[in-house]
Amino acid sequence: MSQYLVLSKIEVQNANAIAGFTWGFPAITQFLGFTHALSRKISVNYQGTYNTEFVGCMVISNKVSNKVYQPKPYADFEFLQSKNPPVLAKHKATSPPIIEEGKLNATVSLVLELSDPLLLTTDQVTELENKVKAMCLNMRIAGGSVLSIGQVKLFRANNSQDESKQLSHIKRLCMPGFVLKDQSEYLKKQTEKIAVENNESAPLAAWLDFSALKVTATPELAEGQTLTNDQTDATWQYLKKPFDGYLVPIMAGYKAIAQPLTKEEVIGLRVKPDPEDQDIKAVNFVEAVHSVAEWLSMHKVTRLSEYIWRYNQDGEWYLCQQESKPSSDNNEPSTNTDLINNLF
Amino acid sequence: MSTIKLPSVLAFDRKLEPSDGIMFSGDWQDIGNDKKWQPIELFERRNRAVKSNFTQEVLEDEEALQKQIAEANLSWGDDGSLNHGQDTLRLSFSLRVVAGIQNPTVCNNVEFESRFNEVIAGYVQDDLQELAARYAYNIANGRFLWRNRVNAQQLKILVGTSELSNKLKFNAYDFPLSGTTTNDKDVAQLAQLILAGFKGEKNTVLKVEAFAQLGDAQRVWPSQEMVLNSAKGEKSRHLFSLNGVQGKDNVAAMHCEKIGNALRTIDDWYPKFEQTNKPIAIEAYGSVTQRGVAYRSTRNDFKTLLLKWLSSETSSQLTEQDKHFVVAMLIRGGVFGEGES
Repeated sequence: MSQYLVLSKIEVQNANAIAGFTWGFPAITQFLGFTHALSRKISVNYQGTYNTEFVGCMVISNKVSNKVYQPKPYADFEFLQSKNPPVLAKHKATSPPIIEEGKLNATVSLVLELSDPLLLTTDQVTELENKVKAMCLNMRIAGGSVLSIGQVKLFRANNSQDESKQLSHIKRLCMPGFVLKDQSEYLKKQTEKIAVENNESAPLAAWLDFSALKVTATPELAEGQTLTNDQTDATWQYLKKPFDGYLVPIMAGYKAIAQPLTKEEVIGLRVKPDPEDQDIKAVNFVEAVHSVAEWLSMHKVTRLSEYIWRYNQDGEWYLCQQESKPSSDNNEPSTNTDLINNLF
Repeated sequence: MSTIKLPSVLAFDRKLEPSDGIMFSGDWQDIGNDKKWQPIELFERRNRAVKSNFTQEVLEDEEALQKQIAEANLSWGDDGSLNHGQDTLRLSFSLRVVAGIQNPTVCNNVEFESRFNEVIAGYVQDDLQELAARYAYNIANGRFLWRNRVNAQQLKILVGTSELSNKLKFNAYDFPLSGTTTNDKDVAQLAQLILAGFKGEKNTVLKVEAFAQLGDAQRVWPSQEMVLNSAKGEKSRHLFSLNGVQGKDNVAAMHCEKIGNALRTIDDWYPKFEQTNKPIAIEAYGSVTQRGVAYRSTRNDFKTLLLKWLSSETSSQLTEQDKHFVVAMLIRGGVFGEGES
């Protein structure tokens, strides 16, 4: 039926904190990249020995601390900088540049989804778990180094009773924590609402409604005054987010901004020559796509598969998405992409 | 393949992966009793200090000098110290040893990669113990304490892993900072653990605890943050702190980069070592920023030596020491692609 590999409480140090226009947590693309890298080491389709692939992952944040400082109370946060730049021949005589980076330390839990169930004995399961743990310790997640991993566990459920048991096991491994839930639906609704008045910049305006901290002024007219002027007092109030919940802006994937190019057309690629696919389109220049997500406490999760991020590739779009709910319309990828169409 | 060139995309991962170091305050006799140690929280210090640096023009003009001396130099910055009544600093971090030195992380030239793999795999198989021993030495001597090590009354380092039933104990003063190797039995055991990690035989994660008896309520030295564009008249000294250590925020800490730099201070093969008698950190051009010198800028830098080693004609010219240096650079990691610029 369904099988999941849980990597609980992974301590990551100095991971990327900046994703597209957003900062504070690594992008979903980075976790899916890790999932894919691990899959390549495990799956028979690549270098591994197991007859399965990791096709998606659920991201649970247990603890995050961004490496930032505040020059003074109420000032903007700024990223801590370190001088660990690349060393090139041209830096022999001069001091190397400082490259501005945003980093964070985090404890995250990942639930990886297996494409095909594995039939393993108890000993083989232990072997797989140990193998994955050893591999992960040699890998990076979101550019950060893995310091330790709490537990690696493989779960398998054959019927619905198993499934609820499996769910509570997985919850226990990942709590306390927050799981990231795709809320592009909200973005769509907000865009439609704004589009009634102002069609042109509606997607951007809608996204900013989720990502910007906005305040509004209500003028306080003095006695006998009917019109406001420069001197009129005002009360300032924070504007609520369009929907309830712990909503955050996220970077959700990529959109092609040019035609795909072959490896002959681009110099210096990291592609190994593969005799079998000569015509493969190796490179596509892309831009980041933004959406909206919600941090939801782990105990509210009822069906794991709803929270698994998977890649959806459709034409020029390359997006991280979660399974759309049965109630919503089925062309989720296109609705989402339409939204972001005018964003950049 | 007579002339091997560096690929345009080439990078290596760090293979020694220290965590950020966290600072605790306690008493020397409580070593071994984890419950007695409290995280050191940073506080702010504001001083009305004096100016002590003047331009030549001001020094020549007595009136201007008097005027400037009368002005206060207001300073505002972070500070950290041991608790009152406690005399010992504990610095804790973990160190993970990662396998796979023979594989570049990214490399866009397959010929280069296979040649590299072949050459380095041979070294990893046969000659790596020298480097492992030197990294072990730098754990044992507590070099990573940096300024906190200076003039401590006693220094003790404890190293634990899941494999050892008893922690390895080192008296750091037994291992002088001018040295890089020793015959000590425990250091050799530690080196074996590191070596097994590099070779991928085991997943080595070391837990290192360093104790420095500094004296009652003495100041401690966490890493200082490099703060860009800090405004005039505002806090000018930011120290590194971590949140959420035993429920406390703003806990004094050392950058993992700084610990890593101390651990890789094993290079005593550079040309001027006889004069300086100080090992330097492994860097591509042997640069030591504190002294403003690059000791390896004359054809014995990382790139020259690596290319020399990989080319089949010149590889015999390389000494053992050059090979150690090159592999230590691979363990350090970095981006070495030869771009257009």
